Formats: sequence, C-alpha cells, structure tokens
Amino acid sequence: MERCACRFIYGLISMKIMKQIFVFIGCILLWVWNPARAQETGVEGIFPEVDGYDIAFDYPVYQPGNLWDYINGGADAYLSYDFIDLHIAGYSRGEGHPVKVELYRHATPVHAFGIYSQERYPDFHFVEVGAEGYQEGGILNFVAARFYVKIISHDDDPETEKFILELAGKVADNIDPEPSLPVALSLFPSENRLPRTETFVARNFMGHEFLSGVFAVQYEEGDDRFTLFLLEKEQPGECREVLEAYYRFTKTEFLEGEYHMMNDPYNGLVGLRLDGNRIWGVTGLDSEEQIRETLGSVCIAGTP
Amino acid sequence: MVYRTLGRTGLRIPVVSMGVMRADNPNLVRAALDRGVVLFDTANNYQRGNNERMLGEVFKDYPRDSFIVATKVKPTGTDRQTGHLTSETDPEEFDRMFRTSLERLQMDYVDILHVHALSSRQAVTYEPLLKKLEQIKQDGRARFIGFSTHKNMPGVIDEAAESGFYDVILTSYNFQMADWKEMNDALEKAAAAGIGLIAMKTMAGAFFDNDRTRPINVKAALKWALLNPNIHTAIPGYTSFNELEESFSVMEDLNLSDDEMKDLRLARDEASLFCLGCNDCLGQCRKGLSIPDLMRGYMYTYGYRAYAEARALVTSLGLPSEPCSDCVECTVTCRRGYQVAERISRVAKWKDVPADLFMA
Repeated sequence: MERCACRFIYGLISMKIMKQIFVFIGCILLWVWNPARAQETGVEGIFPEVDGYDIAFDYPVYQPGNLWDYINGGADAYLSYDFIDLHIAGYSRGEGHPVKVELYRHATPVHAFGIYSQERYPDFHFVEVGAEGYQEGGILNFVAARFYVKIISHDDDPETEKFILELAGKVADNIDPEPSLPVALSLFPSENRLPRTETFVARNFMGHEFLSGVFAVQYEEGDDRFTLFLLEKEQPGECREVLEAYYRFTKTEFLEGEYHMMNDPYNGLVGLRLDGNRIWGVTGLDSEEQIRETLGSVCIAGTP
Repeated sequence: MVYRTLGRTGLRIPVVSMGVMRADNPNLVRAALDRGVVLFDTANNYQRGNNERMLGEVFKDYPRDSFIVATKVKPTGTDRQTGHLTSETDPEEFDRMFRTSLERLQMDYVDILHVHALSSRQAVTYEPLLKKLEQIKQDGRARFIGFSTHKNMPGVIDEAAESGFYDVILTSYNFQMADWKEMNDALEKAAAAGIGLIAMKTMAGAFFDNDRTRPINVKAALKWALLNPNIHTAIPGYTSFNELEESFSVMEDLNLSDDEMKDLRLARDEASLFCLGCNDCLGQCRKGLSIPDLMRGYMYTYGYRAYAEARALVTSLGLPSEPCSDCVECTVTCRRGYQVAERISRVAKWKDVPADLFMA
C-alpha cells in the first residue's frame, strides 16, 4: 500500500517535471523560431570602429513601449512613423564629452524619411551624408534606408564637428552605400521647387484623416507659394474613396471627373487631380485656373 | 464650455487645451483657436524646433493676449538612472535653448516655461536651475514657471507642493491611475498649494495593444482625467480636425456614460500586463531585487514580445540563480495586485538564455 502510494506520488512528480521540461523546450523553440527576433538586433555592424575611440553601449534598446523614457513627448511623432527601435552608442576619447550616435529604425525607408523630414528645416546647413543630412554645430542628422540617424555632441569645436562628419559618413556607408530619397519625390517637377522642402506625412495630412501617406513639396512662383502633394494607392478605387471622403467632409456632392476643387473650410481652396492610382493635389493657390494649370503640368512632367 | 482656473496663475482656461507636439498643420492650430482653445503646449525639441516655428507663424497674426503658450526646455546633465540634475547641468545652456525657443515662437515671452521631464525630488529643487528660472521670470521672458513629469510623479509633485516655487505642473495622468492613492493625494496637495495642474497622456498610450490596432475610447479617457477637479486642463495631442472636434466635444458633458465607464474598465483590465512604474515596491523585497525592472522585463516579454530587450534587461540585473527560491512568502505588495514572485520566476529564466539566440 505504502509502495503504491509512493509510486503514485512519484508518477505525479515525474509528470510535473516532464511537463515543465516540455514547456521549457517549447519556449526555447519559440524563441529560436520567432521571426521577429532578427528585427530586434542586427544593427551591430552599423556602428563603425574608430581608431583612438572607445565605443560604449550604455543605453538600452528603446522600443515603442518605452521611447517616452528617452525623448518624452517627442516619442509620439516617431510612433506615428512606424518606429521599430532605437539603438545608441557612445564614442569617447580621453576626457572630452562622448559623441552619441542614435539609430532610429523605422518600418520602411519612406517612414524614416517621413520623421526626418518633420524635423528638418530648409535653412539648415546640409551635408553630403546618407540620402540627405544636415549639420548644426555638434549635431548631425541624416536619413539612410530605414534609419534616421542622429549624431550628437555637446562639444561644437571644429575638431569635433569634423569627427562627427567623418563618423556620419562611416555609419551611412554601413547602412547603405548608395542611399536615395523615396522614388515618389522624383515624380514632382523641378521647376520652381524649393529645395529641402520635401516631406512625407504618414497620417492626417492637412488635418484630414482620409489623407494619409502623402508626399508634399513646396513651390514658389512669383508671389505665390504653394504646396503640391501626392498620394499613391494600390488601386484606383481607393483614390476614389479618398475623394468621396473629402467631398463628405466639405458637405458637397461628389462629382465625377479628373479635376476636383474642394472648398475646404480649414485649408482654403484645394485642387485635386485623379491620375489612376494617384491623386495629385495643390494647396496655397487662390484661383481654380492656377490650380488646373499647375496640376496639369505636374502630371505631365511627373509621369515617367 | 467648461473653464477652470489654472492655480495661482489666475489664468481662466477651457479644460481642453492643445498638445501641439505632433501637429504640423498651422490651419489645425487656427481651427483650435477659432474653436476656443486657449492654451497651446509645445517644446524646444518637438520636431526639432519646427513645432515652435509653426506656432510662431500662426500666433504672429493673433493678439498676444488671445492665447496662452507653454513651452518646455530640457536641462542638460540629467542622470538617467536617478533623474537627478548633476554638475553637468548647465543653467546657461538651458537659458540659451530657451532663447532659441523664443526666437522660433517670434515672442518676447511665453506664458509658461516648463522644465522638461523632471523625475526626481532632487531635480525639482536643484538650486542652480531654480536661480536661472527665477531670473527668467524676473526678466519677463516667462510669466509662470512649471515643469513636466511622467516618471515618479507623486514624489516629484509632492516636492513641488512643498517647495512653493512652481506655478504649474504638467503631468501624466490617466484612468489607469484610478487606484493610485499617492498620485491622487499628490495632485490634491499640489492643487491646494495653488499649483496649476495640466494633464497629459490622458489616453494612456491611445491603444490597447503594442501593434496599435485597438484604440482606447479617447473621449472617455479624456473625461476621466477631467473629472478630477484638481486637474485644471488637459492637452490631448490631436492632429486632425475630427480629433479636435472629438476632444472638444467632451465639454458638452464631462460625466462618463455607462458605456464609457465600461470601456475604461475593459481597458484597465486589458492593461494588466503593464507596470505603472509607481515604484511603490522599491525596498519591499527582502533580497533587494529591483522589482520595477523585473516587472518591466515581464512587460517586455509578455506585453511587447521584445525578447532581446527583456533578456538584456534581466541579465543586467545580476540576479542569483533562483531569486525567490528561499523565500517562503513574498514580502512585495503590488498596488495593482500583480503576483510579483510568480512574475519574477518567469522572467528570471532569461538570464540562462544565451545571447546568440537573438543574433540575426
């Protein structure tokens, strides 16, 4: 009887142990198999080794759940551009302040460009790094592929600035030796185009929820300063849905046709031209005639 | 419209203000002004200054007394671990950044200057910075001085109430803090001390899930924060005209409907993976384990599925092999009722997982 009870208890314990072993093996397999894990690292090769400098990785890898801990309220903007993670390295030599390299990884090169373009100002001093970049004293920011890179030092002496520029070049090469801006921007005409005004707005362009994923560029012609914008959708039918939403917003009846003039109560007169699975738009011009002329020339110039 | 007075500033403002942080459309700001919004919140580092530039372009066409602008400047030299300001904190650098903000805003003064993101009692009373802030106020470059906080809020707010220095506090505050007595007590104490209290992050992240596919009932969440009379206004960060209207509509009736209360209850239940970061548990563990970090590790593992991050965090804590094995009973009490020991036993396993499992 006592032996039977012992066997029974032993059996129970064995089953429990076996169950735990299976659960543990399952967990390991899940970790090994998990396709997301490659995305959580794999940036080590981007930080270059530099003679005379020590590299430290003192910061955690920030992700959407804790980016607030690092950049506070600024995090929300990054999240709306499909931020994936942030990797930080510090380069130091002797007693000087370390130079910090921040790699913000986004879901796509377009999203990385989008958040970069939100923080870029046309009057900055632009440098040849990555797809586009600028340097202001001890700060150098650039975009390359899926990365928005910020290099920061509290020292802004010429030597540090020179080091930052060299370091940025190496980081950019490690990301992508031939980076480029999003292809959609090449569809915009070059005449009267204001340099460094290209943006990508992921959501709520001009404050409208139906205008998402929009490229925009500013132009100046005589006294007129206006913005051209472009939405690309998978299917022409999706463009029509966008137009219908805009008509609903302005409380006017949908009209078939290529050109559409919207009297937007907040943004003034907005012209749109349907072009297959694209919508071209212009805002900032006062007359329908100017809008038609501008949109017409844009589409002709922009069609490859 | 529901108006409240922002503490000792005497500013009478609607309970719904605007967090401009993500907005890049000047017409949205104009629409908010037309709708009756008075207080606009920005910061020196939002959109790397473009946010302030955009506001400056809008406000130059409006009478200066028709709006209230608050900006934030982050002091250099903050210790990441302790939140303390240090010898690296340079008040002159702070002043230089603030001057840049004024230039971008095209203004001689702001109504409220916040010190950005204070997270320790020491930082709240850091003398060199207080002297600089006092000077800025005396110069007339800021009418009122405040700070923002989203970490260790009860202690930080309590310290400010004691110090009597600050006019305004901008703090994280949302429905997940309903049972957080220290937080609500601190708000009450600060309000009684005459500090104007502004709520941010009222949506508690805006989404239930990390993939941001299941939105929280934002109207209900905003109402919840504003139902606390110690909160004088909130700064939802709308970026569309619809969101502006939705936020503003809460002022028609601040009371939560049954459905709205149900939505918030669901959201709170759903959020049970997430550590509040209240730090109440600090010092409760007889083995001196860093419970907030371990709970964060649990959140990374089961909430975000951020395995590499979870492993890195847990490994960095230098845990013994079985941290809770010789404790008969856990001495840690979590305010949210989490079974702390059980969670620790789960995440502690990370330290046995080789790092190269996570290499690409």
